[in-house]
Amino acid sequence: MTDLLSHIALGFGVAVTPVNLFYCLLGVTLGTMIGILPGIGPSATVALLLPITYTMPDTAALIMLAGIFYGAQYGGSTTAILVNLPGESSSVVTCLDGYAMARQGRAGVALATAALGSFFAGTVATVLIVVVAKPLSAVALAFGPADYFSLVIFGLLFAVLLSSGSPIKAVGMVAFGIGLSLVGIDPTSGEQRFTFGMAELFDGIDFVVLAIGLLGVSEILINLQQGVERDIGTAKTGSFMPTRQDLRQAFPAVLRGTALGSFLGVLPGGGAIMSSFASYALEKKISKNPARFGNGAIEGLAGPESANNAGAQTSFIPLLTLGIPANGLMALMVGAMMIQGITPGPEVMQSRPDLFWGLIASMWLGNLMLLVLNLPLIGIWVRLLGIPYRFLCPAILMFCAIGAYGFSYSIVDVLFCGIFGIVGFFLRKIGCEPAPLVLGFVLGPLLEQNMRLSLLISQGSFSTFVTHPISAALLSLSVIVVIMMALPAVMRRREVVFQGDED
Amino acid sequence: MSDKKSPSKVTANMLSGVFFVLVAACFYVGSRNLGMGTNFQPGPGYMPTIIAALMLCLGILLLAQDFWSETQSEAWVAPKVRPFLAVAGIIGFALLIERVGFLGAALFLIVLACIAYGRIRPLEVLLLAAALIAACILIFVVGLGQRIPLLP
Repeated sequence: MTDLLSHIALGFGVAVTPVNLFYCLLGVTLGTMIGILPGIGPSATVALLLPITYTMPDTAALIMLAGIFYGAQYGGSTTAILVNLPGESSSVVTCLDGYAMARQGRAGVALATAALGSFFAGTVATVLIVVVAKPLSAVALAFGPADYFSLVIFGLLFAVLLSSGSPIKAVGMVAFGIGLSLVGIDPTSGEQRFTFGMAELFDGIDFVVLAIGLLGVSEILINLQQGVERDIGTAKTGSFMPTRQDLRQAFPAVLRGTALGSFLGVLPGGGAIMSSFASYALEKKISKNPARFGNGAIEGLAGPESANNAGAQTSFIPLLTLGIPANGLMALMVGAMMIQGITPGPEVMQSRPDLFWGLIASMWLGNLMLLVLNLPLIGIWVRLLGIPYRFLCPAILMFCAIGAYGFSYSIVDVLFCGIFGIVGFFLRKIGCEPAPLVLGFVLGPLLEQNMRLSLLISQGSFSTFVTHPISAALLSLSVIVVIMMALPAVMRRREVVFQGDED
Repeated sequence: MSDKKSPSKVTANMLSGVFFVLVAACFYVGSRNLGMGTNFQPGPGYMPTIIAALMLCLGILLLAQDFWSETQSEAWVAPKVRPFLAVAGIIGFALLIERVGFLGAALFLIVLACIAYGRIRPLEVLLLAAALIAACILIFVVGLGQRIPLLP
């Protein structure tokens, strides 16, 4: 226990240094901004900012990127409540009851509920990370190569199970990502793979370039196809003070949302989006009067808002303890750590306690800043909605291009960025989401190297994957996941949960 | 995108099946010259071959699903051409930046991005370009100290 307290003290010591406070503030401000603006999501933003983090101190870089992620959850709900537009896909359900409350002149109460619920959830999730991080990474340190191989397989499959859309396409995207990650000089044999003799490809495809192209440029192309011009009347905020009845109804929903979101966030493929949908479904199911939902039920706002924030934060747990990213955004965090020369995994806690605990402490501080940023300053944020997309689109493209170029001053990188943009656009159009591809790309080398290593140790016998107990357990779980994907009943339910939702 | 001629019949699932098979073929061809190695010591071609096989199976599965499924899957809608000018802007930026410097390349990109969006007002585009270029120079060159050539 004293151990835990000293870790937390160390964390806050790191997080409150002026530099880190500044980057934390910058991260949550940017996050709120892009959360409010429809047409640019946290994945694209983090991808765009990856090249910049190269020049920053490592702790500050991670603090800022994490801030963007959970800050976007706050911002997304603001737009959902005030103008019935989900700024982020995780706030789609917030529109239902949040906007209904706004129409009844209770936008202020809705905003306050969302912000306070999120803050509560963020605090609980931060404590949860602190408590489970140490035991989990102790377990992870006992993992051998065979166990890691099976863990990656399990993580990837589970992410596919929980992702939206066709599981076959998602598995294919993961495979494509793994394939792309093999480009370059093979670290074991020294042979070139798929480089076509291009010197630029000897080190493999740059993660930054792939991410900016697939997530950033393709998102713009999609938006330009559909058109995202908005004409909106903003609701008046009104009083922020919830009534006693509001509190009585909202508080249990916040507790349930936090618990559900914390749990779902840890699962591979989980995170903010699924948490908010699941929480809304739960609140509606257990309510005595489900007809109120959609007509301004405060539980239908408080639950999902807490859940998405809790989920956003606990999805850091597998990354920080096992080194396995749970979703596409966490894969980007792996990229950010790699740029700084840190290999994510259970060793980080021992080798870089300042970074590890500093990042966690900053999450709580960031949530506090968000509370201050969001409630009193709400008017400024709403004005952001007035920026037309015809200004945003060239600005985002400009950042894509300069980011891809500035990363290694290579023209080829910028060209690849454009090509990946077209590939990503085409993939989205045929219903293949790029997020599993990014996940496969990040985990591909880990998968291949652990497979080779375990086969080497076992002298070529595949039984090594089932004779190691951890690996065997993970593989049997993977088999269950595959069976669940194949069951049509589950597939149909997934369609329902994710209807109208995409990231 | 070669199947543009009969948009009513081409479905998104069909295209993704074809895409997977094509990617599988590329990985297979690319890994033919790489050593497979043995199970004891898997060579550089081991993993790519597995990936190729997996993607081939998934592609065929998607095509079969599309062929036999009763419910019509989402039809493929040919995209508008104009938005792709945005990508042309990025390609142009890449080709221009070391020849004419950042100022020219950025102007080219921004103008093309505006055209990709739709109607343009020349004055607005120029003002936007000036503001964006100034912001980029401040952030990337002054703030982050990146060595980006501004002029030829």
